[in-house]
Amino acid sequence: MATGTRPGEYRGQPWIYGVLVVGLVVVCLPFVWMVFSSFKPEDEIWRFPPTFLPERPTTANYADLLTQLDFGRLAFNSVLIALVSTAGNLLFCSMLGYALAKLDFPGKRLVFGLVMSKLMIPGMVLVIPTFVVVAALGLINTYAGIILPGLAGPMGVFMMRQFMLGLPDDLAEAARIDGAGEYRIFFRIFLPLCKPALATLGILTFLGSWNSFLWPLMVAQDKDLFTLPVGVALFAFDHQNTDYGVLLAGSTMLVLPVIAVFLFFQRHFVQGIATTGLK
Amino acid sequence: MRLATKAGLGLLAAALVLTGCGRSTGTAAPEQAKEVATDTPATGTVKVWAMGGEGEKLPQLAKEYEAANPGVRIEVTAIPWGQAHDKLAGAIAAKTTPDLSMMGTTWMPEFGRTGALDPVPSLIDTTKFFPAALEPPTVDKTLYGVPWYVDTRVLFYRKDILDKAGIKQAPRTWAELTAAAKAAQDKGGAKYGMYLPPGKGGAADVYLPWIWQQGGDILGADGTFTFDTPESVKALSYYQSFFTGKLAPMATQPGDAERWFVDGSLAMQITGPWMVSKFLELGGPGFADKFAVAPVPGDKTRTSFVGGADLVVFKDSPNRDAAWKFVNWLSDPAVQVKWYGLQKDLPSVQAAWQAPALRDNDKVAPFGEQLKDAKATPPIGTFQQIQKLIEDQSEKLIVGGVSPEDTAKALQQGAERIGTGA
Amino acid sequence: MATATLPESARRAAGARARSSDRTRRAVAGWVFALPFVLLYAAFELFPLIVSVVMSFTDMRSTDLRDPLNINTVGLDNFARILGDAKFWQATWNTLVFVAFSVPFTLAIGLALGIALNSGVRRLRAVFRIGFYLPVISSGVAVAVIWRYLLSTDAGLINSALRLAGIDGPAWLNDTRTALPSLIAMAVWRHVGFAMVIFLAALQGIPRELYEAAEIDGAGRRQAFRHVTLPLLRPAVLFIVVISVIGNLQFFEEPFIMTQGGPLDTTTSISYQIYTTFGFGQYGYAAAMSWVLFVIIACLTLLQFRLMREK
Repeated sequence: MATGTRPGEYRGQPWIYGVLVVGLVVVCLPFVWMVFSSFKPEDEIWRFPPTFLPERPTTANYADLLTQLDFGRLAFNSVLIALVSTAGNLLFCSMLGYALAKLDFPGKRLVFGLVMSKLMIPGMVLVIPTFVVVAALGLINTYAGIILPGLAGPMGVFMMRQFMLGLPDDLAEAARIDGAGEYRIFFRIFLPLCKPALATLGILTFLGSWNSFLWPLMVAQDKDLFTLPVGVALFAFDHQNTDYGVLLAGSTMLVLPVIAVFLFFQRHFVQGIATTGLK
Repeated sequence: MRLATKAGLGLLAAALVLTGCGRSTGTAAPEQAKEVATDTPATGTVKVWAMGGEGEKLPQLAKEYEAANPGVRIEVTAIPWGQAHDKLAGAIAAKTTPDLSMMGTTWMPEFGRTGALDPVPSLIDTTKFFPAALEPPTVDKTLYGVPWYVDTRVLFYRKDILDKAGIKQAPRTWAELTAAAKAAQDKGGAKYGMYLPPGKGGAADVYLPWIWQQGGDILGADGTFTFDTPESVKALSYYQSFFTGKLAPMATQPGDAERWFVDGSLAMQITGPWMVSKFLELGGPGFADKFAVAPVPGDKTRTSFVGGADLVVFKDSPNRDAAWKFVNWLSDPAVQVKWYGLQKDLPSVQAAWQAPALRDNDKVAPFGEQLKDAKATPPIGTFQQIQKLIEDQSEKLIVGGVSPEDTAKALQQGAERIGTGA
Repeated sequence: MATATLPESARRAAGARARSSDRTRRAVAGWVFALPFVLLYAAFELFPLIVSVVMSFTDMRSTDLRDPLNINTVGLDNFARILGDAKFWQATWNTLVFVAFSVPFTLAIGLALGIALNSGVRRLRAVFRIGFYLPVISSGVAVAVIWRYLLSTDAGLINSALRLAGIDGPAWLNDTRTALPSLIAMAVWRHVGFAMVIFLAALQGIPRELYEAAEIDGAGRRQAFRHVTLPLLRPAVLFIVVISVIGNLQFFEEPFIMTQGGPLDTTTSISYQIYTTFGFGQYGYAAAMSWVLFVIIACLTLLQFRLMREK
């Protein structure tokens, strides 16, 4: 697989590496600064000009957070909600995306219109009416109330539709001639071909769910259902008491699991995809 | 849940009935409060929402109440400030409110008019609070909330810098403040004599007290705006003079003022009680001797701004009596002093200020002094819009160089367009 | 074999029946696939949407929350008010400027990164991938803290560097000329990783056999890119363009965390305007603004679908 470059590829020229490395430094520097600074005492963070490496490293910011947070419970809630949302989105978005791209059914344009309109409407004014609906359905203070409204996100549907459009129609025709049913065609032929797109969708959905903030907080009525960002915000992002050290420690703690998920999807879906498809 | 269903149907009906039923105009008479039965002890569960640091610390205090009242359980849910307003609004719409909640004073006019709040019963003795603290929770002549803690703005100054500049005493008048700022820059070695928000970040907190200090106001007795007055123009030109005289920095970002105050590039600023502990933490050991606090410099009076938080009980509360009893306990002077020890929130009850912990602390006692001459922002439903208007126009005054007279006119026009929301 | 004995016309009819039952089966499958989304939409989206449409024709305020029937309909007053709202039009202009600069830069850099990482660069590929994605996953608060340090007037990193070169840097976020460009730079920095990841997934979805076929046909690198890569990338390009434009038209977080719309309203966006109006409790007016923004977004999106010539 590592034998030479394919046609249509650019060879790894040194200048490309140079540009990429410079870009990488520019892009990541603030992030690395955040991680380092989470180990600094408060007065060092506020010093100007800022230090890069901590002069007097301390774990006090993390200790502060961890003693005040019911970390296990919060993390469990966040992981559960993010995993279910991600699984739901991977399945439902690819199903509808496939139908919109490869099948003809009455009302298809309408459904696609619904998907796109959901993307285009600013969500601010919808929050309270949605909350009223969730309350009327008796879903307040439940995981279902937090998860269900976002279980089939419009961006995912749109993305999967576009990726499916890029796959040749002949695949389905060939399978139909072989007598395969519609569901089998989707699950056995098209879904496996979408792995790079699914990996991307998985990362994006997990990230969105993991970072979502206002909605889980509105639905959760007691702290047994709080998620990690809500917990961190309570202690770190308080109003008048801007304790930057705890804030940066909290931000770092929120980002690390996302990096782990990113690496997971990379490894299991994207690598080794080089040969696919048309047989 | 049944209530929630009803609320849902209510909104649905609202959605379908396009022809509308028309707003019933506000009733002029105060709403009558129901009494709380005092002969029985508090029982059952009281659900409480509290924001930020208060939400974290309240359970500690509530334990003492539970110990004294074995039949009662206080369940506190802490909510981040940034999302609290939306959460309260959603809960009121879906009728899923808790029994009791903390509420920022500026939200009182808005939520008071929703009809979701229970009027304060006579169980609570309202004479013990700072009178100014009772202004925000009084909506349409009815008291809907009990002041829990107060905050007010005072002058923070670097003693060492002013000393070096030959100023031995905190400035007491506008002229003295300007002179002190100038001296701090010329002789005290400070880069900036004074910090004032250049529009965004709290213009109303400095501009309104300057009007009050001359005996003026932005809302007349008849309920119309009075931004276009000599007092207002004078306050605006005083505001502008700090920037045209290069005594205050124009380009700042959040956090700059605090940092500069600690590293000695800034001599004075007007801010709230929470900054005391922040400065002590940032400045490290020995910094406590370098700065002091004093009541704000003034004109005819030395009036400052008072804010804080109230406690409200919801009409839909299933355990209303116990909730009010808990509120009553929280406003007991001894409990207020204990709460100051836990969370450093300034007591809203005057008697609590006699406690040594407050009276003998030279960084805190001036706040008590200031609270005797403090005023709340007008209790109108549109005040947050007015606040934003003041910030925008002040920015034009300071950054854009618009004259104080034109700014006053623009404020008056803008405010009339916004209205009082009554 | 039975068909062999049938007359031609009957055989054709049977074929048509089979085709039409095929079509029915596919239509049923289409609906089965669409069902989860449609059900969730009906349960959670429909009612709030209706409410927000209705709200835009009323004077509903936050004080009506508990008693939402107690409001007045005001016809088109809210929309008429938008027409005369200078702040809204300033916000619209800012938003369009923001989109016009941030979208092309984000896409161009994202595409370049995607191509570079997909092919030429083998070593350190995973490092680059996650590195360029880091800004996307960093929290808004951390981003704000860092960028304030970068852009601070007297001691910020950028102005310190400029001073070394003898240049007196501007007050980036406090100057009406540089505030919006600063936010654009910040937005590009934040979203390039997203575009890169999408392009990367699209590039990886192209079967390598197609390149081999192109090679056999004697196509060079450039030709293969033009005739194989680009056409197959088209749906993904449409996706990323549409999503970026929709997302950037709703841009909110940058002014919210960095400038609060200032200085002098030069960084106020439509979404920020809706946010403050909603925060002031003017639900009716905020809903009307939301629908105006929706119409702007919908028109631009339709235009893109047309331009990309999708059926």
